[in-house]
Parts: sequence; structure tokens; C-alpha cells
Amino acid sequence: MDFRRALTLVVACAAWPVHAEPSGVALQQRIKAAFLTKFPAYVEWPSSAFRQPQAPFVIGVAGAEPVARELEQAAAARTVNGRPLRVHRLAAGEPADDCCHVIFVGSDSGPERAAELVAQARGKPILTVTDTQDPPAGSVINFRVQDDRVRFDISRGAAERNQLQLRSQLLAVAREASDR
Amino acid sequence: MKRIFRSVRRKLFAAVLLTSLLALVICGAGLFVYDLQAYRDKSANDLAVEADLVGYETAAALQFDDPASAAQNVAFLKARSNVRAAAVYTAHGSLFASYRRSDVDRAEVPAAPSRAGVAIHGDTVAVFHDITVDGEHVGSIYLAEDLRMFNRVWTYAAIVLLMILVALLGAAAFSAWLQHGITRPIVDMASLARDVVEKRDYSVRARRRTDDEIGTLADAFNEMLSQIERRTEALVSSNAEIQRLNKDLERRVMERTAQLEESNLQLKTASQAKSTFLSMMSHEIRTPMNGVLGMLELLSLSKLDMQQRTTLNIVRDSGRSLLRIIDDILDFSKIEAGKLEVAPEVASIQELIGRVVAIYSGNASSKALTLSSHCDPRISPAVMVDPLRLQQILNNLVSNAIKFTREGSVEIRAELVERREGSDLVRITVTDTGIGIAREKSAALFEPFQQGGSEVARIFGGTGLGLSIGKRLAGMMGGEITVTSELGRGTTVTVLLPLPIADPALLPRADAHARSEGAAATVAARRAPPSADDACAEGTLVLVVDDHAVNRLVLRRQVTALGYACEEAEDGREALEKWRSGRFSLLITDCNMPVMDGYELARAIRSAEPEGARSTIIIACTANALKGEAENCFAAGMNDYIAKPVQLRRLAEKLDKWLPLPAQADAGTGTVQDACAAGDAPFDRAVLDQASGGDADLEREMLAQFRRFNDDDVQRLARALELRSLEDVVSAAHRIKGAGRTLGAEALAAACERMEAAARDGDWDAIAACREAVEAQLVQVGRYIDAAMAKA
Repeated sequence: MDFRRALTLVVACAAWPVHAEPSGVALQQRIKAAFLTKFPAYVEWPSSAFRQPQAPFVIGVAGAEPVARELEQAAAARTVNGRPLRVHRLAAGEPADDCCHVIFVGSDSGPERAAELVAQARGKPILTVTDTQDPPAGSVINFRVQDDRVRFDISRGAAERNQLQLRSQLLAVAREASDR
Repeated sequence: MKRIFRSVRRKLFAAVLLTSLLALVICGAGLFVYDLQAYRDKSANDLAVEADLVGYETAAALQFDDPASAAQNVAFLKARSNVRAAAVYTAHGSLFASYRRSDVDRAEVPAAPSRAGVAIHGDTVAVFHDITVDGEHVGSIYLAEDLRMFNRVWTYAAIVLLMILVALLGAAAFSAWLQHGITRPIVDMASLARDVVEKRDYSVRARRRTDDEIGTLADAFNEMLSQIERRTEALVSSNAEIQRLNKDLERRVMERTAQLEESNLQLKTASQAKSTFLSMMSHEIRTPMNGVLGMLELLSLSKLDMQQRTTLNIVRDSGRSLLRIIDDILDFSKIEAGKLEVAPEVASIQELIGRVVAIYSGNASSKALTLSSHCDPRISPAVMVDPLRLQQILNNLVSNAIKFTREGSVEIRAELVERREGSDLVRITVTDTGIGIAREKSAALFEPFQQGGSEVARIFGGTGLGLSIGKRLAGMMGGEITVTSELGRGTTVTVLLPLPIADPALLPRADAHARSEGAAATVAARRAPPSADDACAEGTLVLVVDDHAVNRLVLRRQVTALGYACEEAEDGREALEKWRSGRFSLLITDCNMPVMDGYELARAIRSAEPEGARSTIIIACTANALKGEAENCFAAGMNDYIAKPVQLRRLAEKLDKWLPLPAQADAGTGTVQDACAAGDAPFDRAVLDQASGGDADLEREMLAQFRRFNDDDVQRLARALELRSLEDVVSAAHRIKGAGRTLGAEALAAACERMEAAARDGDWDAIAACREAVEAQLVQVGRYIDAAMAKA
């Protein structure tokens, strides 16, 4: 499947089901995966985040296998911020501070793991994305489902701590943006 | 329109204004067009940028599926009032979010996106714009906006109008400035020029304000003015000069005119003086000549021997020549003065020629020359001519011919050349067999005073004026004189005259007595004068009035010689005194006298006489040969006049006319010298002796003249008989009778008297009978005369 068709599919999946299929975990997983690929466009990483100019953009996924799969599918066809996208599955207990630019902690990883990874990423140029009702402190973005639609909250304080700058557009579409 | 722009100032103002306006309008229009285009472009561009911005802001909403956010984004466009509508579409093309202004119809929001780009429809510009994020097409945005071109146009127009207004104000200001710099000097100069023209004041000058062309113009104008000023001054001064010269000229003209008038006056005076002098000369010379010739005439009546008579004749001839010379000079003076006039009257050419022949026959016969005449009978018997002047011409010609012919003949011929328009062209030739004149000299004949030792002078002698005067006279009569001559053979002088034909009835009666020449014939039958008392009783007493003693004496002798008694008076006053005695029947008075002249005397007598009764005869005796004298005499109341020198014959004519003596019954009882032998002699000796005064020479001369005249009359009689012209027979017979009686040829006279009577009766048989008797008598008379001539 080529990139365009895949994109069309992803976007279609991301937009259309909102009303057509009010609920559906799989769909939500796909949307979350799509969001994960779109976030970097609205975030700026310090240059120190990349060892080489052409270093790949790495999204680390902890748990949330469907999302990981979706990402891997998308990774083959697209780039992020001009860099090739790589998906790195974070094994249990594996630290995320060295290689990843984005860390997604699936809701199935549990709050501890989420808190661990967020803590590990704290102060490092890593966009931490969680998927929990009660996100740990330091999580930059946290998915929420509201009215069967995938939305997200943003912590600008966490982002600052991780040396990340978030664009206003992203903040504008967030469900909630706090300074925490 | 031309009236508005009559002044340079307005023209300039209008030029500046129009130029500005034109430039502004053109610029404004260009800018307007450009601006509208640019505005549209800019609007489109702005809209595209706007779309891009809004799209960019909306990209996240699209990507993260947040239509509310998107709607919120586009709703911000409400702040821009000219945005009509906006819409955001998903990448699939479905409407994601939209906005429309409250006044905009829903249909203006497209349901689906079109291709990216800008489209302008009417006053609306619309743009579709793709929204991409990180190279990924995430959706489209649509924006529609009012261009508001109308507003724009209005705004622009207002601005342009404002600009034009401002620019016009600026132009006005500029033009005012220009007026100061350009127009003002011109206007000043124009008014200056007008002033110059009106006031003729060339001393004013234009002020030079600038260094440009107008300044140059002002300089040139000033230069021109100064030139005009100089020229005007020059003109004025030259005018004054001209006036001065004119006055000078005028003055000189007046001076000259005065001089001319003066000299003219002098000339007139001189001319007057000349005329007076000539008149005086005429008078003064004629007066002594009167004495000379009168006395000579009287002397010739006395008994003289042969030598004495010859001397007397020479003296008399010389005196007459002198008188003729004087007459010639006077005539010539009159010709020169243009005063000589011809007075044509009715006359007979034949008689005139006869008179000339009568005058010169004596001269001719004394030189043994034949003087013959022939008159063409075709010439009218009466023509208009001045007889005295024509006779003067012919006298001169004949006298010359006789003078220069030694032997042979002198012939006068009158021929009719042609008759035309009531006028006879008559050629009178005088031909002689004399010495002739060289051809080259004949031309000079007619020049006056040609007597300087040449042959001509010899020919004409005297004054040399005769022929010259003749030529002038002929010219005045409309004719001409020509000369043909051959040296040694003779000369022919031809007078060609046009003579108007006149009525023969108007011819003056020829007086037989007038034809006889010579004093002797005149006094032949006269009685001895009676005593004064007898004459007074008889009523024939004559008073001779003259201040000149000699003249008085001459006249007295002449009068007494004619059988009258007379007394004398020295001037008019004395004459008047004597006339008052009532003894005098006739006065012969000189005209120019001291104390009281002849005219006054006549007037006094006429005024003293009873009205209508002119009992006293007054005859003027004047030496004044000038024309008009006769009129003066008649005007003064005189009866007649006689010219000095007084010829006895003329005097006899006048006296016989005015105071005839009683019948001279005792005529013939006078001085009988000696009896002629033959009792049957054709002449009565007593009559002949009385006529000749006993002088044999005189008697011969009288007889010669008688024969000459008689020959003519006999010829005329013969012709008349031949032509059977009763009238001419009467005339000729009468003349022969008269001449015969004068010399006592009584038989001849009787025969002629019978013939005359027969002719009057028209009896040709009787005439024929008389003819034989007349011819027989003529033969006898001829023989007698031949015998008398032979005695000499």
C-alpha cells in the first residue's frame, strides 16, 4: 500500500468514524496512532535530540500493541519532520530516555509503568504521551475520549521541562491545556 | 473664446492650467487604471495570504478533527467586514467548517472545494487554498471577499479631484508668478507701446526686469524707441529745414515773379514804345514826305523844260521809293509784332491787275519793255480778297521785274487753277526776261534783310523786305509765293491764292477818274480858283487845318490847283473859330495837332451843329498809316479821310465826291498853249493843253498812259462784242468814252457814248454800226499818239 492511499485511509479512519462509529476500540487505537504521527509536526525538539542530521525519528511505544502496529504500518510510508519514522517497542522495564523522541505509554501498561517512563523522560527532549484517566505528572500529552471522540490534554509545564515547544495550533485543538 | 484669451496673461494662465489639468487627468487616469488593477491583484493576493494564514491556523483543527476549533478560526474573519464567506474542507472534500456574513446568501458557500486559485467575479474575489502540514494535504480553505471597487473608484476619483484642485491652485499660483516674471513685462511693454502710439512720446523706456528673451525684447524695444526718437527728431528738424527752404523758395519765387512782372511791364512798355515810335516815325517821315511829294506834284504842273522835268521825275520817283521803303519797314514791323492783318473785301482780280499795270506801264515803257497782262475770264468777277495787300504784293513783284529786266517783256498772268467749294484757286504769275537768279540763291529771296552785297541785294535793292513781306502776306491770305528762275533767262514768281467767290453786285463802282494816273490829268479840266468871297458865295470854300506850315502850304496849293478857294488854320481851336464864321463848306484837317487835334475839332463841330444837320464836310488828313485810323475818324464824326502824303488825284476824288464844283462850262478856256494843226485831229488841243499844262513831255506821258489804258479797254470791248456780253460792252464803251473825254478825244467819246447807249438798249445792229465808228476813231487816236511819241 502506497503512502497516499494509506494516508487517505488513516485520515478517513480518523475523521469519519467519529460520528459513524461512536465507539470502537480498534478505531480509537488507529486514531491515536494517527495522532501520534501528527503531533511531531506541532512540536519542536532541541537540536540535541538528534545525534545526526538524518537520524530517524523514533517513537517508542510501551504496550498498546495495536497502536504500535498501526504505527509500524504508517512508518513504512511516511516521515516525521523530514526524518524517517521508526517505531520502537519498549519492553517492560526498558528505559526510554536514550533513543526515543516520543514515548507512548498505552493504557494497558498500567499507571506505574507510565509514571516510570514519564519520570525517566523528565528533563529530556522526549514527548511523553499517556493514555490514562489520571496521567502522571510530567506527561506532556494525555489522550482522552470524550463523547466517543479521541481528544487530548496538554501539559505545557511538562513540555517545557522536557525542552519541547508546542505550537499554538496544537494547544488550540487540545481539550485542555494546563501549565502543570 | 478668443475674447477670453485676448491678453497674454490669461493665455499663459490658461496654458498652465490646461497643461496641468491635462497632465493630471492623464496621470490620474493612468494611475487609476493601474491602481485598480493593482488593487485587484493586491486584494487577490491578500486574500490568498489570508487564506493561507487561516488555513495554517486551521490545519491542526483539521488534523486533529476539531471542527469547533476550525469554526472558531474562520469565525475570527467576522472582524474583517469585507469577508463575505469562508469555508474549510477536509482532505476528502467535505465541508468541515464555514462562516458567512449575515447579509450573504448560504448558496455562496461552495459545498465542495474547487481547485486552488483565485477567481474574481464582479465585485467579489474568491480563493481556494490547499492546507498542507509537513507536506501533507490536510484540507482546503475557501475565502470570498468584497472588492469594493466602487468605493475604491469613488475614493480614487475624490482624491484625483482633490489633487487636480490643489494642482490648479498651484498652477494659478505658478501662473501668477509667471505673470510677474513674463506676462507683467509684456503687459507693461504693451501699455508702454500704446502710450507711445497715443502720446507720441518716444522718450519713455521699458524697464528691463529679467535677463531672458523678454529682457532682450525690452532692450530691442527700447533700442527701437530710441531709433524712432532719433528719427523723429531728425524728421522734425528736416521738416523745419524743409519749411525754411520752402519759405525761402516762396520768397524767391515771389521775388522772381516781381522781377518778371517788372520786366514784363518793361517789355510791354518797350513794345508800346516801339509801336508808338513806329507810329511816330510813320507820321514824322510822312509829314515831310507829304511836303516833298505834294510840292513835286504841284511843281510838275508848272511849265518846265526837258531837263528840269527829268530831274523832277527822278526826285519824285526817289521820294515815292523812300515812302514805299518806309511803308515796307512799317509793314514788316507789324508782321513781326503780329499786328499786320488782311481785310478781305469784295474785289475784282482783273481790275486789280489792271491797276498794277497802270501804275507800272510808265516805268516799263520808259525802259522800252512790254508790260502785258492777261486775266483768265474763268476767274470769278468778284472774289473776297484784301485788294490793297494783294496789290502791294503784285506791285512789288512787277516793280522788281521791271527793275531787273533790260530788254524784253514783263507779263502778269492770272489763271484759274481750280474751283472748289465756292473758292477759286488763282495763280498769278509775274514773268520777266531779266537777269534771273541763281537757283541756290532763290531760296534766300524771301528772307528779310537779304541785301548784304549779294546778287539778291542787287536784285531787290532797298530794304530787301518787299518779297519777304509779300510772302508773309500771301501766307496770311492762305496762299504761297514761289520763284522759278534761270540765270540770264528770266524769273517767274508765282502767287497761288485761294479766293472765295463773292457776289459781283457787291463790287464797288470803279471810278474812271481813279484810274487815271498823274497830276496833269487830274487838274486838266479844272478851273482857276475863285476868290474866297466868291467861293463862300458859291458854297465851296475850304478850310485847311494843319499845324505843319509846309503841309498847310502843300494842301492849300493842291486844293487851289483843283479849282477851290481855301483858307488856313494852324490848329483845331483856330479852325473852330473860323468855322464858326459859317463861311466854310468843307474842312480838311490834320489829326494830330497841338492845342486841339482833329478828332476834337470834329467832335466840337458836330456838337455845335444843329441836330441831324451835318452841313459841314470834314475830311481827315492823317499820316497815321496804322489800322483803325479810319474808324477813329468816323467815330469822331468825320465824313472821310485821306492819307498823307496827299496825292492830288486822291484829293480830287474826295473833293469831287463831297464838294463838287458847279458845272464847269468854261472848262477848256484855260491855258491854251498852241493850236494843233489838224482841225480834224482826234484830240481837242485845248483840252490836251490844259491837261498837260503846256508841257510836251507831260502831254506825251498822258497820251502814253491813255493808250495803255485804252488798249486794255479796247481789248475788253472786242472780247465783249465777241462774247455778245451787253453788260461788258456797256462797261468797256463807258470807260473808253470817259478816258477819251478826259484828253479831249471827243469823236471817240461820242462814238463810244452811242455804242454804250445801243448796248444799254440791247440793240446789236446799232452796236455793230457804232463799232466801225469806234474802231475808226481808235485808229486815228493811235496814229496821233504815235506821231506825238515820234516827236519826242
